[in-house]
Amino acid sequence: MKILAVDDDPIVLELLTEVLRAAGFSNFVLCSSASSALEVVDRAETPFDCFLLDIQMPEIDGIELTARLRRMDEYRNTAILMITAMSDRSYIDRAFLAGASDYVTKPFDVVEIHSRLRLIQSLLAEQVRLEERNPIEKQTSPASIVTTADLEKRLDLQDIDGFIDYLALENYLMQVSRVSLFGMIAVGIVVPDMARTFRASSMFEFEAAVSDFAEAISESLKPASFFASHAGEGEFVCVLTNSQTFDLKALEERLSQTVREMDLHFCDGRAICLKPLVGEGISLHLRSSRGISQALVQAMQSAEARALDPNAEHRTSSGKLMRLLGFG
Amino acid sequence: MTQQNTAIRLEKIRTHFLTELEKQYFEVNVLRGRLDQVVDPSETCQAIGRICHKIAGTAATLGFPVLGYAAAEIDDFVATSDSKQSGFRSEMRDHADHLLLLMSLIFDDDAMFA
Repeated sequence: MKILAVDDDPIVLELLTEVLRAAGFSNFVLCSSASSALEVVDRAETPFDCFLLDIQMPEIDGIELTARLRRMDEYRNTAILMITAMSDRSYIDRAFLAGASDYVTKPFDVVEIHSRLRLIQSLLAEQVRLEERNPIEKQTSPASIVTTADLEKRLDLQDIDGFIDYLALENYLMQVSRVSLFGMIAVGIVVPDMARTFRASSMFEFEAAVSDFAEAISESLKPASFFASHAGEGEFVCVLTNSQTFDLKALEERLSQTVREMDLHFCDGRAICLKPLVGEGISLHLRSSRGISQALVQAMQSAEARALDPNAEHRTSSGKLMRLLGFG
Repeated sequence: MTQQNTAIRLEKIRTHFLTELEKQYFEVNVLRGRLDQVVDPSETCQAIGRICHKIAGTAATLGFPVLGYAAAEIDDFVATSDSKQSGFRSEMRDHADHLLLLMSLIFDDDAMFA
């Protein structure tokens, strides 16, 4: 695995060298500024597989560097691990919105960094195995017909405000303090009949529609503070970071209205009818790491349940209160 | 053998950290003195905060957890407090004095340099 580590503190770079060596990584480059990192990236003959970035650096900080890397085609999906002394959530939120995959706080725990890097390495190995097993997948053209596997895939929607990769969303929630989780709720949004709607359509039409729908979610959630991810199969999960005053029923109406106004069409002129259903808010308060993943799934299951019974109202306030208190 | 080499290299990093810490001690000492003189302490506090940010990033990993946590606390205090608020300057003085004391304890401990 080829790694690029960037930090303006020479002592941190020395420490990282030892940490990486001790974990068995030898193919790494160290940079003391974001601008030198960008030069190294430009000159690299083979792309990097992983970035370790400090947040607070003079001139270009780690958040801006993350955003610049994500704008490069070859680094759209590369693992970016932020290593920062910042425990302030606003920095962390900005880092994830810029495209960070995960983060660890300084002073870093050597064992923790090892395990994160091993995880990234195993994900990379899995990706290579999949590409070897299914080389045709790489050749998927925009004109090809959507397959079931395409529908299940989580699309990369990082250009849309508030949207981050699904795994990055899980990482973000697992890393923020329990105190920060207070007031956060996860909300699932589903588009029923996605598979039927796009059965004979092209990849271009499918991806464009999902992207437009995600834009509609982003617009409908503003000005609330949120993260959202595409979960595949016409499902989305949103995390509202300050949910006290959020009305989910109003969100559903606003989202439906926005999608209607978008007036989506297939290339042959047929209208695309996407009716969003919003599930209940699932509190993230007092959740363990494992509980976070379960809460995201529960949020989507709640929206799926509404898809099975679209006339069902959102749950009563007493039930909602129990869930908000973490007993749901 | 590899473990031994790692230990030697870590010791070198620790020595580097302590050399830097000496410089940082003098910088914080000057800034602490300035806290009593300037009308607006915000710039002086930001400078102390930047030093603390660096110390907080590595001290605990190199075996100085108490210093690391104290530095992190000051970094956080500077980042989140309003320098115009009453009591800010005196709290900052206390923080700086505490930091200087912790740093001097490390320098006084001969075993650290053995």
